[in-house]
Amino acid sequence: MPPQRRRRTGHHEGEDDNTRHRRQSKRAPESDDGSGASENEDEQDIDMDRPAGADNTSDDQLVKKLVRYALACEYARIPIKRDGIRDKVLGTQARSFRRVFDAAQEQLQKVFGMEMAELPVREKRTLKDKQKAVKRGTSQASASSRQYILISCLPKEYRTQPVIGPSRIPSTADEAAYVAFYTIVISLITLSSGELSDMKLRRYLTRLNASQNLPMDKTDNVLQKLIRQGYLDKIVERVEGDEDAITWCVGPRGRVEVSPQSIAQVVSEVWGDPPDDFDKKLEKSLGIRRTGQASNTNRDMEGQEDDE
Amino acid sequence: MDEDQEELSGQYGDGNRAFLQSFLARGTMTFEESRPILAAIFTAQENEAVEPSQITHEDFDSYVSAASAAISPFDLEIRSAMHQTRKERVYAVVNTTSDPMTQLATLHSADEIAFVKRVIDAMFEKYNTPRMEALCLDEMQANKLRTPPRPENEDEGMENGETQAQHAPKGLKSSEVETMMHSMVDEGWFERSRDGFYCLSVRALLELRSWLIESYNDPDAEEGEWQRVKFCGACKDVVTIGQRCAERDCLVRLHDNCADAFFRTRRQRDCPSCSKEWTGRHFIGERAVTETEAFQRGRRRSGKGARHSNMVEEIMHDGEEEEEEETRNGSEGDEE
Repeated sequence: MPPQRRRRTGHHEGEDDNTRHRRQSKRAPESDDGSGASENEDEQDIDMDRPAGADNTSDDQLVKKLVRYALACEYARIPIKRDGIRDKVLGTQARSFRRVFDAAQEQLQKVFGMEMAELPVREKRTLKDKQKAVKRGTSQASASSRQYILISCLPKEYRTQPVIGPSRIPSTADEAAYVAFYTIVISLITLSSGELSDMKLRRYLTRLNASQNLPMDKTDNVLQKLIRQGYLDKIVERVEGDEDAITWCVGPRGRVEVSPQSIAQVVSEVWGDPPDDFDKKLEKSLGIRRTGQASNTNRDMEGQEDDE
Repeated sequence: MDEDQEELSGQYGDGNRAFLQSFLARGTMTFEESRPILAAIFTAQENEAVEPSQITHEDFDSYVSAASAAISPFDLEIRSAMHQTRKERVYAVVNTTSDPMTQLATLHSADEIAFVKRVIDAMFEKYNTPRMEALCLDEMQANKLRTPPRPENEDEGMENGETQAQHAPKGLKSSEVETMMHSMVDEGWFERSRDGFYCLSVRALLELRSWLIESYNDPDAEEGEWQRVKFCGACKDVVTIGQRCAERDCLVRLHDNCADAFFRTRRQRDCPSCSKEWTGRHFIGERAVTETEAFQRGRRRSGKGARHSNMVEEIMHDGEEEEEEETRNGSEGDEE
């Protein structure tokens, strides 16, 4: 319909200058007292001798530094580490971690439509690791990885190709190929109940004509990079008198970044014309629960394998 | 992210956030590039298909200014400049402070960064003289910069060579130089011309503007003295590709686009400063090299594509030597 209406959505109110000024003038109090006041309430241990004003300005600086640090880490696909935040952002004010983190999280959501999501702990997969964990008495569930990555929290309607197309670093084509490759590999692993032997993975790669080379680099180099960036985990178990058993799993970043929903989309896309109960089976295989239905995942996994 | 938050953030919504994410992933954006993105955003907002062709300049401007205002508290900003050769305004997200934090944001090793620094130095120092303001270099010349210059106190270095060797920065291999130059183009910092010259992109000029001035210009220079970083007489942005006054000592430089617009409004085509006729045939940027007789001759001789590998270096070097001679003689010569 008419462009006027559309333009209004862009400005939300029509006159750009006015709204912008309003936004700017709103901005200041919002970060000064708005969040500041509520923070002070639950942070009883802060130094009460300092004037509130000074405290808030320095907090703003820390929040700004943390937001910039988070963006910089994500740019290189390095996890945002709690220790890194302590060293590079907080410095001497390590005690304000929670407060600064929460405020930065809010800014990331409000301004950038992103948030820091905690990475899952690397699972103890080998028998040895599991035994070690039992000895130390640490349980897998309670541990925190103390690492985060930035993910987009935009509503689904906005996550379309023109909007969130591949980054131009290192180049649009390379980035697109890289994202496509890890999404496929992660999908394959996930649909094979979370792990894939080296032999099986290689067989899939051969079928994709990707066993040796990919557009950007040698396949082995790309796999190394995927391990380094936390998309994949490679588990090597020593076997007496035989070759090492190598198993591929989805790494912490891969688990957060490539959601079951996106795997489902990839699979449907690849499948083309799916059979009737396809969606249901797929959702169950991936453990996606529609409206809280608990399902017998194992049985459907088998079904999935039969289909292949 | 309920009403409270909506209240606080005013008119800034998911559409703006989506636009900002898109912008950050690309680093730069032009109006044309923004149209499919904004069309997709409007489509999402209105549940009704919006075509890229329906996106207006006002739409784009309002989203850019909203994004720029939103990121300014984080020392980020959206700046724009006209592209020096294409008639297109380029917008870029620029860091207004540079700190160790931003250095982390680079995906290259310290040796690679040092190489890039040597390349930029060469663009603004070695290949940028009053006689010939090329401000660009080709792959051969870049390749010569692959190893860091030896430290000046070489003798000392030899004596306690062991300790030195450990910390000595390493150079790049020839193949790495090629990869590095290409990735600087892909990442949007350099631009490569059809004739194979590399120069700083608009984005780099926007981001590095103050750093360039600080590094290469003499703050104590007197008014009217030749400086390495030059500004367009019309739009006042940095100019590295454009036209210069036919009078060598005159400092007027204009972008090609700006020159067109500038002389359209004037009765005479003459230099606004020294009144000498503006030829439009005196150049700053790669044409200072490619429009020389020597280069044209070389190109004719070797056919398109294949040129004598050292030719550009020789032309630029000749420029320097002539200049030295001239300053010695104190004479003036015409360039062509």
